[in-house]
Amino acid sequence: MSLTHEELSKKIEVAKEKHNRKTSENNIYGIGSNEASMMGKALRVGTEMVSAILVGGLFGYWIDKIFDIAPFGMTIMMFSGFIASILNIYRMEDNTSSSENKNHKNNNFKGSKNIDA
Amino acid sequence: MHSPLEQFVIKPMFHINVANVDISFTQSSLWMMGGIAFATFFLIALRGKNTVPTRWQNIPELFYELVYGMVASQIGDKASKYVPFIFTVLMTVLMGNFLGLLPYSFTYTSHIIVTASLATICLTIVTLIGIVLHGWHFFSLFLPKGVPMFMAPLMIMIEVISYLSRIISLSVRLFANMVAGHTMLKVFALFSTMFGIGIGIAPMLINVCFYALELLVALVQAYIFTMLTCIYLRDAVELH
Repeated sequence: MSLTHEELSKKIEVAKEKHNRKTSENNIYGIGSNEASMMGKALRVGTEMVSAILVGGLFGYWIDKIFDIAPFGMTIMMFSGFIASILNIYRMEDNTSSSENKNHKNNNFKGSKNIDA
Repeated sequence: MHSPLEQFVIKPMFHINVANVDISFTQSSLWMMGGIAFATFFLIALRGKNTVPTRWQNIPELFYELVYGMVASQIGDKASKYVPFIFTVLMTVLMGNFLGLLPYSFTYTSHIIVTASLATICLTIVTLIGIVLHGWHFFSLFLPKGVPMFMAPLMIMIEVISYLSRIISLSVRLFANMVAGHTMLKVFALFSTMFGIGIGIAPMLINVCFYALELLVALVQAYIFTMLTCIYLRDAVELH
């Protein structure tokens, strides 16, 4: 057990490379984290959409109450909420792809293997 | 017959009333404190300074590497400043989800007020970090580059709604997953008691499988919560 720091880090490096190679091989054949990530993304779409519309509706309700312009505030804000929800989903795809690119750069961390659900 | 939703009822343990505001110590507060105490003692007791970690020392280091990797994959070199914040978020959610799976326990993440408060705190901290780093320039987050001026009011409105909707989507996702899972477990347990010892074995076996699934869901939901906090943190730190 008398390893110097350099020797140890070299050993860790080799082990991690082996591990990475093994997991990437598994991903080609078996049910990898890739499919889990697609599933997670699909489940995320629902909440992303509903939440933006909800926030728009709340905003509209609040505007209606303050300025007393009964149906208009809520109608307009709910439509904006709908637009924002589409934007959310568009962003989601954008985010995940860019974070995956970054992962390839420093995938020596275990956590950066991304189940970005 | 018990209702499957009865497990989510908040029961006060000590009644405390301060100026007509009910701040009773409930079983939810007890499990929150239990979760934090457990996480703290667990991590302190198992910490070690060996260069080659022992098996026990590996457990906290695994979590640390998970969080560090998560933050580093989003923010890059300046990640280590934000690791304590993200680590705390992960531990709070993870303990809520995991301790809730113990028999007779209470899942504090199954209440939307808890998850919404947690998400609001996270998003507020992220926003404050952005404002401290960039000053007033931070608010250019709400106006994407290259937008014509006459579109600006509409775009700002939509971006603000999109920004605020993060709180709701974060909190609702965690809350809904926890409630759905625990209700399902209870429903199948009720089938078991209804059918008795003969056929009642079948729902019990299904419940065992669901329990394994719930363990996975508990981990994955905590991971998603922290991962999304990281993504939002990156938005605030990098500003496009």
